[in-house]
Amino acid sequence: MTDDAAITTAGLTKHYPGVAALTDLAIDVPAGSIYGFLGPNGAGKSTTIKILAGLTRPTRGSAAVAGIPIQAGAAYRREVGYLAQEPRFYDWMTGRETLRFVSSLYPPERRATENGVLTTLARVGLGDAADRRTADYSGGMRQRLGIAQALIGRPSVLLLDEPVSSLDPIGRREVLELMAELKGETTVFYSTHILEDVQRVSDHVAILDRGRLVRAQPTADLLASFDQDQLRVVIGGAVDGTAVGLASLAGVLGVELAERDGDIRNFVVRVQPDAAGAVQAAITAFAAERQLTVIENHVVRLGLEDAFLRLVTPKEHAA
Amino acid sequence: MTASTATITRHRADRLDGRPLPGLRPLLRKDLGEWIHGRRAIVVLLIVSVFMALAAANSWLNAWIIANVPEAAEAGASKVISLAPLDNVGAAVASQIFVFAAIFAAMSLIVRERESGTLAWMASKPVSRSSILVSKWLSATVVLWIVAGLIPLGVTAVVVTILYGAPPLGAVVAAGFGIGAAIALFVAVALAASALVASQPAVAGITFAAFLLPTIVTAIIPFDIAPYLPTSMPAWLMALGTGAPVGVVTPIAWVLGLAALGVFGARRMADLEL
Repeated sequence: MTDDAAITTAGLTKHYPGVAALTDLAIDVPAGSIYGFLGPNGAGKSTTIKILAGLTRPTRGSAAVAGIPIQAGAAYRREVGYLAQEPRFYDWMTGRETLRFVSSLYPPERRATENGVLTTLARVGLGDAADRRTADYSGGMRQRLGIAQALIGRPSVLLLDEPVSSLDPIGRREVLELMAELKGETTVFYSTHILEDVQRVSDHVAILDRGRLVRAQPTADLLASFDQDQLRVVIGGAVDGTAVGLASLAGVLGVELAERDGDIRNFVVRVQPDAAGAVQAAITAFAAERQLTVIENHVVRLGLEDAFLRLVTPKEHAA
Repeated sequence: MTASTATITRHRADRLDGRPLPGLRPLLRKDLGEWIHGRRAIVVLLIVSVFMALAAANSWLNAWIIANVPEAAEAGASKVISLAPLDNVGAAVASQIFVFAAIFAAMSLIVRERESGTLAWMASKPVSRSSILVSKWLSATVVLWIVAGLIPLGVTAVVVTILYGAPPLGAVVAAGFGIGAAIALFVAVALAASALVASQPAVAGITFAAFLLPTIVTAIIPFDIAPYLPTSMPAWLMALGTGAPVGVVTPIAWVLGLAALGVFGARRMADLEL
């Protein structure tokens, strides 16, 4: 556990009869971060969020938010603002009444004033709809009201379960922009299976697969760790033996012919960790010796999707 | 945290800054607001009032038929049970229509919120689940006591006064409290059942079983166990109102029954996976 962790879990496990939904999850979520919790369907993301929201009990393990353990009940939940995947409110209340009601559930020092309620509604773009019944809200409006009600008690952490998965592109963009605005103000821990969103707004990412944590680190570090192990090499005048020659260079783990256009061949060269620079130099020397033309010789920058696919085992292969 | 520590001190988790039942007051305001905004209270009020008024008027109607339709009287289709005011207030109360109404109105209180996700939403806030349960029970009991008890009883008293003469006020007041006691009990049964099963028919089944079982059991068992049943509270209060001798066993059974339902419901609620 780090001192500035907003959320800490250790050995967090949830098993249902015959199903290991979550096993030994250990993460530290830095305070003020936007933490993407990524995984395929059934990976255990919602289970984790429900445990952290105090809606279900872990089979074993511990979790704490702002240093308050989950067993503290109401005192713990005071530090947590939760948004369900498909948020539902009392449809006879207006947006303003919903925030007033949620605010009244918090201790007096955390309650919002009427001005605070309106400011929060305006912040999520619902200022004009404050006095409309929530039954008349669209999916995107409900999601934004969900974020507003999660924020109104000034919690240490926002837990958002798939906040954009059911939204159209416009609603998705609005909610992601709102999440990005919250950076530094509060900690946002959200689950998703949309990789593009994580890459867009998250500064930290954890990848979960089959209930187990596969990787947890800053998003940039995760991507950089994959950047260093693959080169794209395009060589003019290449022959069949060129691939074998490249594979024999020191630091090269494997060579794959990706594309061929006459005597121009495009290779993907996998290299040992931290060997990319040396291998690039060796390839340049290798081509010069054989009078080949190096058209491209650079590190491949992987997107999160590639990283995710490398880390997560496809179901049919894992079975 | 181990499995044993995960279940630590429910009472501690049910408090916030040392205060028991955190969030009860705003939850109660919300639940009462929900009754006001919905149609259930109006439906219950109309059905129970009409039914109890008709039950009270039954003897007068039969007397009128005997006096004006001799064929019906000869065929034995109508007979006057009693024209005494108190007996006809008793006939309306004994129909127990308010219990059916209470079960009908209370069976969905938790289940519907569980299905819609608003129960999980509330449970994620700094309130205790016991507060959610107590708020539902208090609001439903108060509203149903008014719309299925006091107002229909008032209508019944007016009908009885017009048709038979004024009933003794003490007995009517006692009947009002008796109806309230029955409603409080069966709302508690419905809520405890809602924490146990997740469908409205199952909740209704359990609650109706709790309603019918005492009648069946008292009919089978050779000695009188009625005074020991919490469901006998309305009869006990009616007897008290008319000055008949009563013991203290029935109110104790009623209080213990409510307490047991409360503890059971709260424990089940705490364990619910939402």
